[in-house]
Amino acid sequence: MKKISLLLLAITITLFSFASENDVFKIGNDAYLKNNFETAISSYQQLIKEGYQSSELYFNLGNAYYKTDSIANAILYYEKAKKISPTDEDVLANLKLANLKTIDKTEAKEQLIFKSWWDNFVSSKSSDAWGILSIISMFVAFAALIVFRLSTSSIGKQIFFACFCLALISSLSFYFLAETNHALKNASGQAILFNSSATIKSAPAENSKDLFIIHEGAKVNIIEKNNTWFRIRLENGNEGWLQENAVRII
Amino acid sequence: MKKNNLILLFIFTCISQLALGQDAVLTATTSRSQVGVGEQFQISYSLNASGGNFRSPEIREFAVLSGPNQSSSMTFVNGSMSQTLSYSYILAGQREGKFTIGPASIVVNGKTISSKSLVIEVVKNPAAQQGQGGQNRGQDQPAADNNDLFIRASVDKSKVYVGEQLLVTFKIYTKVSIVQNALTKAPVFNGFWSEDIISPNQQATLRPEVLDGVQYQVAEIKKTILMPQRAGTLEITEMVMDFVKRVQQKNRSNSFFDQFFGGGYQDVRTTAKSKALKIEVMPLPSAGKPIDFNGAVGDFGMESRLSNTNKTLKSNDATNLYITISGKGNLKLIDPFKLKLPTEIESYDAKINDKISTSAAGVSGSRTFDYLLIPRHSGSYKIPSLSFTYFDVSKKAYVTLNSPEFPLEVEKGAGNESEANATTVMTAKEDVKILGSDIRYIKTKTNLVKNGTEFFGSTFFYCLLALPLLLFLLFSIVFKKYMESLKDTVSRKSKKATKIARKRMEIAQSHLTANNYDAFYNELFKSINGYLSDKLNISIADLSKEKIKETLFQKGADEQAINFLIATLNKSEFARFSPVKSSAAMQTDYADTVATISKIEEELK
Repeated sequence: MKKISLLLLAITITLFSFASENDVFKIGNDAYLKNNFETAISSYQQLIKEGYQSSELYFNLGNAYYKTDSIANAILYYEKAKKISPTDEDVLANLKLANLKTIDKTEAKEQLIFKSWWDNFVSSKSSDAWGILSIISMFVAFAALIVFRLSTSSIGKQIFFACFCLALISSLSFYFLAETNHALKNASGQAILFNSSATIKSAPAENSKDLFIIHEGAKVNIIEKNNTWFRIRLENGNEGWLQENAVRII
Repeated sequence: MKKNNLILLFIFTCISQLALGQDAVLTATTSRSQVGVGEQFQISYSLNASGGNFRSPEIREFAVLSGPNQSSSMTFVNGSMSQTLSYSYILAGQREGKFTIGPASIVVNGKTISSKSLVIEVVKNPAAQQGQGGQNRGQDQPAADNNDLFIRASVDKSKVYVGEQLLVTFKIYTKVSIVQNALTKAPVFNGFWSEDIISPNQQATLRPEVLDGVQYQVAEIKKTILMPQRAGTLEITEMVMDFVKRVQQKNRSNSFFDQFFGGGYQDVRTTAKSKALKIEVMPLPSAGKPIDFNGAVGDFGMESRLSNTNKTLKSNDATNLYITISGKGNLKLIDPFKLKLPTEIESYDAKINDKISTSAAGVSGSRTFDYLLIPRHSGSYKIPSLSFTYFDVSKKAYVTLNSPEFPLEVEKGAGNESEANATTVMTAKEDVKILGSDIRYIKTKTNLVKNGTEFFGSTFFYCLLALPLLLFLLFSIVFKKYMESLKDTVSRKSKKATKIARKRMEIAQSHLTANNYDAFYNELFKSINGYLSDKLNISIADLSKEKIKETLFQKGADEQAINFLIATLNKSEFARFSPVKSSAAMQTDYADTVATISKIEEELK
């Protein structure tokens, strides 16, 4: 009883706060429409500070940063939006435009068709939606099992057992999809360079040899961390060490 | 006369000093301490005693045109003698700079005396003064020269904004008659855009003008409108002219011939030059400078019209857009406008028609841009408003003029629109024209999710996921218990059945002995039905002979026993409702019922 009332309380709080955060989002959108990009940015950032996230929020924030010529920020938030909805054409188009403004040539890595298809499929629904599907399937499975137990005719028993197996398998599949989606969204293996330029070192030390230079807005893959240094790898395979405060993780 | 007296006094003083045995001095003099490149000048060394073995000064930076030219003079005044020995050179500067001509020396009475060094500054040639006669023609340039013939340059403003018009006038002032004139060096207007009103080639007319109380004959020889193109201090360089003027001879011999030939006049060559003028050019204020400002300065008006007013146009028909800028200012520097037309309208470069006149009041008139427009497709378009910004000098502010927006209705013309377009005949279909690339617009709908409030992965999620399994287990347990309890009642009932039947049979027997016919059959019927109902787990309502037969058959009872049971049931039923009541029948029926129950009991074991 206590648990249920707590749950209800949580739901009501969520509903109430839902209204106000959407208002803030709208304020940001209105400011953006009036070319008041600084206000838009602060509204969107307020939401992020309060712990909200959505693909659209990141996308709009990226747009506002793009309009204020803050390209590294724009790319960072487009990448964040892309992480949540990797197939959103708007996000991809704007990210492409933002990348054109960076100094370093960005080679879009060709993805395998199967891989991109799979990613699309996994992120076509949120992890919550996949989770709910998994629970529903689970209920169906055990309902089928109960009917199987109650059934007296042998044909009926066979049919309902088959139903149980099928529903159980789909429930597990949905759970796997939810897990994959969750992992995809929370992976933090990439970062955007915020310094106007950064020299990539051969070792995590200032006095080590300079390997190459990357410029603001460059996307790097983080391989490992050593004290305040990140070992990074570029899309073209070049590797080296970089101070962690030069980049911001997507 | 006073001057002459002073000179005389000076000479006397010199002589008296000599007489007093003053040392000999070698004096170095130069005709000019500042000369232009290539300009001739004279230096001379004079000694106030007799001497010899003159050693020339070192002359490195100058070309020696002549010299040393030696001359000596001896003067006897009141019995005392003064002697002057001089060496002179005519030099010309070769390059700019400040140069020193070293000392010259001479031996006087076995003693070497040196002159001082001379410092000559050679400046950039202000005017190639080839016409100047040099020292040897000194007598051709009377001292009054500068006053009776000169050139004056004047401007109406000396402080202007970039692009603002100013008028510069060059005038000749003369008191003598000019026989001949030639422009030696025209003024240079560096950094200005210039427009001549009067050029030196034109015929100049003289008119009287009084300047500083003196009357001159004045001719305007050059009048130019200038528009500075950059800020800073700009210079209008001097104008140099050569003249041959006719002057009255003053100190010459009044010979008979001269007088006879109307003489007393001499033609003299002379050079006159104006002063260079400095113009301070202020930059246009950057505050409030509109983006579209293109350098127009002055006072302008703007007019625009379409040639097809009040007439709908057909596709592929041409129309003209005229934009006229009129007023006073640097009209010629106004560039054509960039039209922001719908892409369906083809436009050509503007044809420029100028009606510009230059007068002392400045450059004014109008410049018209004529744009040829050809709408290629039908539809209703708008020719957007154009803005023209200029700097108004009098208001010291930027002024923006806007042309009205023109609606343009284009009807479908004859022929296929895309085919009629000559440039796209080859490709019947046009590509969608990309007008510009911009990021896609923001999204207005979202579903904000608070971090950490995700459903997936939460405890609640896992509880829900496990719930069906728990429910199933619960069900299984309950179901099992239920089945067990069900089984128990059936076995208990069948065990009890025999007992109940026996009891009923006992009651029936008591009715039999009491010869109570109806009650006996009633009890008999209840006894057998109740027994079958409990034994076969069939409710009394469902109990029919067919059902009993079937169930017993299923349970594997002997067919003979079943038939005997059915026969007994039929017989007791018949007897129950029969009007004939015989005690003998009661006896047999009782015995049959007991027999059949015990038989069924046996069969079902």
